[in-house]
Amino acid sequence: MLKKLLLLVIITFLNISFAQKKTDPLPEHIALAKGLKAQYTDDDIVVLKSTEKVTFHRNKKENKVVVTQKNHEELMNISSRSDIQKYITYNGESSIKKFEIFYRNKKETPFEIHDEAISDDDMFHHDARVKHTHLDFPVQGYKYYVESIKKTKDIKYFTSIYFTDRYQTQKKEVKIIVPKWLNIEFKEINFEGYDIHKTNEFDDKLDASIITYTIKDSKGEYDEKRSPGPSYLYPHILVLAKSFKSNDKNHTLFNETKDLYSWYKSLVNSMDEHPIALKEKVNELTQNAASDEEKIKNIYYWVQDNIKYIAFEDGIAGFKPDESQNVFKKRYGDCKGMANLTRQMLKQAGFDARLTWIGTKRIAYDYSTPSLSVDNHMICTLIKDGEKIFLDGTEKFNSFGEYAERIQGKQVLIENGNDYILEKVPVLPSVNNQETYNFSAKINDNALVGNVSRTYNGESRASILHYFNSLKTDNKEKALTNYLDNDDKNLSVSNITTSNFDNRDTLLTIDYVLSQQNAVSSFDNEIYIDLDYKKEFGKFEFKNRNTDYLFSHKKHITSNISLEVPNGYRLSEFPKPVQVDTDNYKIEVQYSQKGNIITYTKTFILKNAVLKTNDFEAWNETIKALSILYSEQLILTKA
Amino acid sequence: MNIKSLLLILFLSITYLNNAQVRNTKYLEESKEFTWGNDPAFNDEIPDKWKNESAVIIYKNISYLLEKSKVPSTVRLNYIKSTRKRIKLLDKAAIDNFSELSFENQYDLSTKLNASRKKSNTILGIKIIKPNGKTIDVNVSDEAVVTDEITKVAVPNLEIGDIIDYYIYKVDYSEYESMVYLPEEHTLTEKYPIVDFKLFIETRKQFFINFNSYNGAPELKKIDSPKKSIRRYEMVANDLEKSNFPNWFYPLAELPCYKLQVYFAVSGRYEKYTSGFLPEDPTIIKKEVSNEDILEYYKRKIKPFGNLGSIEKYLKQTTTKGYHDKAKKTYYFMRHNNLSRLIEREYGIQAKIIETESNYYTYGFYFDDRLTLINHYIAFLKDNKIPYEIILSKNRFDGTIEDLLLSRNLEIILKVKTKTPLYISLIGQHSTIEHISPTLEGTNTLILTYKKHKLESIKKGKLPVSTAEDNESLTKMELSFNDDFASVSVIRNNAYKGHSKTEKQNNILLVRDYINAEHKKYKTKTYLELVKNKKLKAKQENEFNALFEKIETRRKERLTKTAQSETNLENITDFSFNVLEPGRENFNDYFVYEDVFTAKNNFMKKAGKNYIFEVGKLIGGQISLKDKTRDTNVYRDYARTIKNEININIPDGYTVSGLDKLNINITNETGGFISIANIEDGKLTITTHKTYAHNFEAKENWPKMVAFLDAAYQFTQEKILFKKI
Repeated sequence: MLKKLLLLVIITFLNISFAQKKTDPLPEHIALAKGLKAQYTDDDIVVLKSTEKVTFHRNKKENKVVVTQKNHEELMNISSRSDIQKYITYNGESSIKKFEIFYRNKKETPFEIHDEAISDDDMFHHDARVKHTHLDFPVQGYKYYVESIKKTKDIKYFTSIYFTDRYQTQKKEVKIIVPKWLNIEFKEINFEGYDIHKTNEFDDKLDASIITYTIKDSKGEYDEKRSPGPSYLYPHILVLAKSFKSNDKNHTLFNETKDLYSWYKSLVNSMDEHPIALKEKVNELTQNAASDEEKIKNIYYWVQDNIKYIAFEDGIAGFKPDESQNVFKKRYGDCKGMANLTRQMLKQAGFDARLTWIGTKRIAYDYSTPSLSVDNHMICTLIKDGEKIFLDGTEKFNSFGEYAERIQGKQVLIENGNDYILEKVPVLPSVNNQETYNFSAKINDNALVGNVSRTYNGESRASILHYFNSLKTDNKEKALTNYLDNDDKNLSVSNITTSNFDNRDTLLTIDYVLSQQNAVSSFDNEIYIDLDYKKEFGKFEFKNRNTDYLFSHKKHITSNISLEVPNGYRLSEFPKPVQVDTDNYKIEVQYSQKGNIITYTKTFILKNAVLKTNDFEAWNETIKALSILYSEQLILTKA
Repeated sequence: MNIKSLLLILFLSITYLNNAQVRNTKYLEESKEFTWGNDPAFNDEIPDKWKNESAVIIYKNISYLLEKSKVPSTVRLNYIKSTRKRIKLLDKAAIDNFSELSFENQYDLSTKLNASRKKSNTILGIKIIKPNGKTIDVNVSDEAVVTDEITKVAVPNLEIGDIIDYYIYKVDYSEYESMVYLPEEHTLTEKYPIVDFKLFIETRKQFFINFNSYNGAPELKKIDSPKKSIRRYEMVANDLEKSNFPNWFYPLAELPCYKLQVYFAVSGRYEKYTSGFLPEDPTIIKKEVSNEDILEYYKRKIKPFGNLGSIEKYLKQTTTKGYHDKAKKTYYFMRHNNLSRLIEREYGIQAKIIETESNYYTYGFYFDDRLTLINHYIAFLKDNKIPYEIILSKNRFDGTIEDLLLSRNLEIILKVKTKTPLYISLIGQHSTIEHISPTLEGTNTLILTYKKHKLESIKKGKLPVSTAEDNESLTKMELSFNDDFASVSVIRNNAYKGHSKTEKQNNILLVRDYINAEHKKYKTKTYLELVKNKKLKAKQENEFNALFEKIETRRKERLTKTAQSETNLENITDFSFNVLEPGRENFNDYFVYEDVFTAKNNFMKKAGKNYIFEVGKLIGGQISLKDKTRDTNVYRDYARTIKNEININIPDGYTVSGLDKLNINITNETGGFISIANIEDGKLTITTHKTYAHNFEAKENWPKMVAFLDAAYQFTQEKILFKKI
């Protein structure tokens, strides 16, 4: 008995060490890893090979098409040691049938797979979840295989297949088996610049077309802030399922825009609306209004100010708006709830208001492509005197007639009974958002002292109002002071007067007296002045950036600082100006002098709220010149 | 797994969940009745002085309900803590703050088929009272969404001027004959002002309670109760201003607060198992701890214990001169034998390089807690006839030893009574035998004295305090300008001693920096040397090397960032560093490391032919006080002095002006900032000393601190002129 036990122990021990050996990298793996590391110095993990197989089958009971994605990936560590989280996401419309990790010898690993809700600061409740595990690659050349199967219960939620990954991928093959009963189109997006081949063969045995995309040598997706959404950047196909045959019947999915609208409208029609609950509030908001515009503003601004953004996006709640009386009673809702409430309140007041679907700038498509991936937001359209005005309750302190950058220029789908209207949100010029700064300064010891006047309009006004109105009352005065003095010991502000912070329509003004310490240094007979405190964009160079840079709105900043030269001093020379004007931006910074007043003016305009990658080189040159100008002191010499 | 067993499991889990829900409903009604059942009519008026607040708490109630029921063979206990707040919301920020309420469910679902002996249930109740008096009951179970362990409620219908009245009723259920519940230490005040506050306790036989109020919080008073078997107490306070928690402040040391600990013991036999200062008579709430209590508590806890084999072996092969030397050498041997030596193995286990946690390859153990360490060390002291005493203290942040109530607040230090005393409280990777935790320095203590290793008596004492010089840090920087001033080359020698080196050592030293020298000294073997299987050893060695390569890369990145933040220099390239002195043998030894790098010269501003250099920035960021008022005492970690010596090679063809602004001296009894600048042999040398003289300053001395803090900040704003000759 003991002998048998001992033998068992020895065998087990040998097996363990044997198995251990078989998971370590072979010399050819280490060589490959070294070669790859020389090529991709910033990467730790490379996907050597990835295959995805997509199949469709019919759920005849519910008349839905189910999509199955089978994925197999081979990952290799090319650094000395790597630790990563490998994960797969799913939600109420999909499920993960398999998620397993294997060693290079194909034996399954004992790693624990965790299943958690995805934390999201913007959504109060949603059904997005993730399965994940920690993978450690102890040495260079170590490999794992990852296998997963994901099922999407209804093809209309299966909107795209992306060809790139978090990691550098040497080869990815996506094989889609399209049965004859399925009428589907694949729209290719962002293929330029990538090595992608496509084949399409009909397989008699399967009675289906096999479409295969092969992509080679694709970089890992970028982890950069303020990038355009992935639909602009990475190669993918939009999956446009138009219709399918089942039980000898033809079922339409989204064949044309009309079909997408019909589905949206059916959700809207299924709401149990009782807008009578809004009547009293609507009367209260409109009875003393002098004009139609005032009525509309009262309602629109009331929704902005009184409905909190709390988003429930689980299941159908992600697409069906909440009833207006619910949003009204609860005093919270998401974009769909606020759009619906705005619509119903305006209708109660006798106006023509419509629900409107829209894809924000984050999304590259428009309604010419009928797919659920085309939009991500809902607003309200007011049709008045032949004009369409767009109202977005989620944009707090937005002024009536002004539009947030994220919706400008985007196509909207407006409800029109059984039909729909397509329209575009106008693009507004940057000057609408103008921010001005005027400082008349005098030298007082080591400080610059004088009156400052600041004004804000458009989106620059809205963002300040939103920030201040969300602060605790007892903090507001302090917060305004901190905002103006940047919480910097060198700045003291006093005598602050402002325009009405509750008025979101008119120019916002803030006036105060500023003392800017440590701006003036005296050595012997000379005074050196560092006039510019803000030095906007002085360090805004792009190093190794791969994607366009998006600003929150079209910035339009003008700044004017005037300095009184003290008696008995004269200015030597001015720093060289910087003047640049291109399609996407304008920067003008210069000095001038009239009598004993030096004027320093700056203009910064981001005309389209974007800096494109092919702007970067010229932009960096401009910023270099700008930072040289900023570092040059004004020198006043005793005459 | 066949269908039958699957179904069985499904059936059982459904039943179990239903039980939980049923139990939940039970507590729902009970919690509502308790919170709102006997409400007085509230006067919801806000005092004028608080009309500009974001929100005002009209009534805050914290209640502890201790319930028990007897069942055959065991006893069922409920420890209920209910926190209720009735709050008037005065602005949008308050609405935003209270629109989303959430709490963690701590369902302790046992995997066994019988019910768990320990479980938690949390119930949330919410009511909204409109300005016109209308009350809305929020149906929490309908509104709540549960994701994993978090329950969230989006509170509907909140508007400015509303009152939200909500409670969180947490029931901890257990079936044990003795329980020690977690102690609670809380200030009465919080971030909103409070009109009326009440703390309520309801207790029954066999529950033992420690409770006291501190820093002016009102006393707990006994009140009437419906039955003799139930005892009730309450503490009432009103007009509580909101608390301001500035930095350098210990709330429990100064603000009105209370401390509470509850125990349960079914009988005297079980009382012994409950560790803490139990009241003699459970019908009386214990407010203080006497010397007798302490002696009794430690009588069984402190005794020489442990296998001294390794220590004896070490002492045999080491020469020691006298008790002090012997005690010291033994401590450092233990630090090696019971910590450092085991760290590599620990890395291996965490990085999954070592498959199992068995002691197969490395025999050794860690000291799990202070008492185990101290008892082991006492065994050594006893064996070697070295005298000692036990010091008991409380951390500065939770009050003084005179106010001792909770056993968890007691910190224990072993003092070796050699000519120069030695203190032992913990073993850390870089801990030294003279080290006393900064949170204990200067505190009043109780000293347990031993006669022939038997606990004899208690006397009062005080722990020493380290001085600013003891905790000195000194950075010497050598800076030269490169290619037309576009960049600078920097060499820094950074030295830290006393408490100022702790964080640095933890951040910079890796075990591989010192472990081989230690193995050599103590004649012990490394982890890998103990691995017998050659193939396994080769594999693990490979993986350890890869792991440490990664850790070292991370360390270099970290130190580059440190150099950046300490000097304000940016775009650091060509960074390298070297540990010169690990400083691990004496509290007063320096920990020294050197770093060398190039950085962009962003302090140089062109001024015609000359250059303005923002030399002050090189000493790093300084505290910048905009608001100089302070109405609380100042608690710093420890006294310290921070010294900088900056040597700048003056570029050829330039002279330096503006040195006068760099000569500063602001000193007073709270500390100071001194700066001296001079030029010698083409080198500009600036030395700065910033000193915090004490670890505590009374608030009346705050303006004196501000004086030198402002001077230090102003120094960072000073510039010099490089004038072209």
